[in-house]
Amino acid sequence: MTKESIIVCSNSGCLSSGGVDVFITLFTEIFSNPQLNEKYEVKKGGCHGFCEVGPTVIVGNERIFYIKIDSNKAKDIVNEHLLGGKIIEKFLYFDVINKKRIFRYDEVVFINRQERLLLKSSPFTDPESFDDYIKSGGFKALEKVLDTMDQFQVCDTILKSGLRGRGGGGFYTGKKWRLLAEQIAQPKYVICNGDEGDPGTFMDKYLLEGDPFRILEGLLIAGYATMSNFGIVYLRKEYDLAAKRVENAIKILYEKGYIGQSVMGRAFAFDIRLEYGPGAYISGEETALFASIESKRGNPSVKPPFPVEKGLFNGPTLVNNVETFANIRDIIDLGVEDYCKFGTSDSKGTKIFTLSGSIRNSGLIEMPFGTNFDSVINDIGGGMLKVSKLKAIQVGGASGSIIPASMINEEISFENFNKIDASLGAGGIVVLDEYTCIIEMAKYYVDFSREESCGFCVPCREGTQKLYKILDRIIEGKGTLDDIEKIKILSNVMYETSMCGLGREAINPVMSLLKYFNDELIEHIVDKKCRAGVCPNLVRYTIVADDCIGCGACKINCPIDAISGIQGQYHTIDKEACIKCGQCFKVCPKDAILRS
Amino acid sequence: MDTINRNNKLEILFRKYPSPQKSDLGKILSDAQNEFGYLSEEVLKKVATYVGVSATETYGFASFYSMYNLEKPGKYVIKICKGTACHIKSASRIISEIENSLGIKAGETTKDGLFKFEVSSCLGICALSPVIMINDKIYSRVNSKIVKSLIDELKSEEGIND
Repeated sequence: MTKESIIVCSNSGCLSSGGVDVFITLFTEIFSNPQLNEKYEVKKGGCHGFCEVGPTVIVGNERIFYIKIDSNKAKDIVNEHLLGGKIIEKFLYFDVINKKRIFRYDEVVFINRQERLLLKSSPFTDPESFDDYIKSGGFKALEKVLDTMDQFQVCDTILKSGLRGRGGGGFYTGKKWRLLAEQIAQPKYVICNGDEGDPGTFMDKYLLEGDPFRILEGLLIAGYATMSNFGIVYLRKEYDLAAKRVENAIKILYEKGYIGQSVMGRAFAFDIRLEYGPGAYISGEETALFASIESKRGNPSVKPPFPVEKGLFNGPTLVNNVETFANIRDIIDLGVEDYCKFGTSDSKGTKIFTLSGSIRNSGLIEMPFGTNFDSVINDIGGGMLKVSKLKAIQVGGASGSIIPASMINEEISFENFNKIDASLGAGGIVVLDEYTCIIEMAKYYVDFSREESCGFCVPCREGTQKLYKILDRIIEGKGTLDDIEKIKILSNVMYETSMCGLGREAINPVMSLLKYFNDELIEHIVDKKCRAGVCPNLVRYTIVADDCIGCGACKINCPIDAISGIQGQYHTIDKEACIKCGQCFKVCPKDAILRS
Repeated sequence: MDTINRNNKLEILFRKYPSPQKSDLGKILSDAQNEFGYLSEEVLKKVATYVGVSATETYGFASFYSMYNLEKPGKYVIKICKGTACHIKSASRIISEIENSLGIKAGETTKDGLFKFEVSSCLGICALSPVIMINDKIYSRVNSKIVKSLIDELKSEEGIND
């Protein structure tokens, strides 16, 4: 009899909120009880994406979904559920919209509204176990490719599937592979780019943590198709857990003969090694990535020559994003026709998005191209957090755009994003509510680019500095209308003359600011007013004595104790001490706090 | 004594790379950092000579990337995420709170060598923002009060009263 499994999510999201203890408790409790040990096995699972409610435990074949478990609750699950046979309702997920408890994993709205392809098997597969991966259908694609297809056939299959690079560029993957396959020079390199640094983006991290074998399989197929013998997984140093899992996976594959002199016993040699990105955002750019592997400063170099001609150590090199490699297995397994059923005419397949910000359900989601923000935010995301209204959607991190709430019905696909002049980036979605100031957001992104600019070319190095200063001046309340013109000229120069993508795309958030939030910008400059109440110099908080009921909520929540007053009597804010964080404004039950 | 010790350790470390290529520089430096905790000027010079790269180039390389510590790090490294999701949930206020509480700016180490405070561009745990990391332990959904009590706890463990 096969054992029923109890799966503890073991990705960094859940582990950071106490998943390790839960796993140890469940494991020891069940292992020490022979009756349970016969029936259940406790195992680690990959990411299910619903990091918000972690650590989670999925019990048995029915997939009962327990959330926010700690070791005491884990003991309760063993005693009441496993031994007593009773489901513990209070540990289940509560759907606030439909006002009911959800029993099964597959019934959770956040999960069943998604259409999953890449993330489908990952939550039930142990990321550290090779056997589990094989059980979920792994390495069939590789075997099929090695036995029945020649190199160019594989490239053509990928091209026909319409797969486009998921790192932001959107170049056709099959075309890139074909270009490398046609190169004669050896050695050729295939690099999996996991140097994910965009703020608000974490899909590469969770893919590598949750399903490392899938990425390596994609890399192997790419190696075969491009007639290359060297694969490199390039990973950011800060992603410890992902590095550990990938290292473990590479070790197992060497032992099992899936990498090495003869892959799966066929006439194809392929080596994979792990390289660490020593921590610079610019290393995500192809040529800067090569520089960092070659132990040089991470300065990008001019293209052409393109990496497929002259890349790492001057050899022809293919660089693809982690998510791109994750797609390969499914394209081969499903076949081009079935794979193309997902997505739109020009953007095939599914895309993984990371959802965070002021939203109820944040985490990792997967939807086919052609979906829109409305279904991502309101259906899957469960709408806004608390009572705030949606103001804007930030897509694609520092090189992405800020899209106003009025464009919530825009389709998410490469072609439509081109049309509305926005950038999808790697797919990070951050939801911004009314309490976010877009000028401050733009400043935040420019600040990020300013810090991460490698300083090699002038437009990017100086441009980001100057942009930052102008935006800072506006936030301080010292802006003039000339500044808008200055921003436009500066952005234009940066776009035209920067050497690599970082400088060219650093202006994207600022461009969205000018395009969609111009009235807010003018309000800052002319009226010296920040409608979101974020910019400290443009806002003042006072308590209206007549409305205050003296509940003390503001006093408790004030981080610097600037509010004084006796319970039941009206409170006052010390204007000198106030840091204008707006915390009191948010918590006041009577709206007695005035923002001006 | 220290110098001899250090040279011995480096000697052992170099044996892993019998014929060093220029591209091994990064790996040797990160090994050295794992061994000593940081890269002092002497270590940088020694590694540079061994690999056959000029000391300036080695310094240029090591100072470009955030992974390499050129100063002795504190006993506790407090790292805060400043990604978008954390930013809109007031990470910047927590940053100034920590700076006040420790009396140092981001990127600095306290004089007693106990605390180092770093700001990371994104730790990739956006769903549980705001996030801070003390050494290898991640604390999610923190606020300025939690952070303050965490730091106070560490301080009292070390016997500092303020």
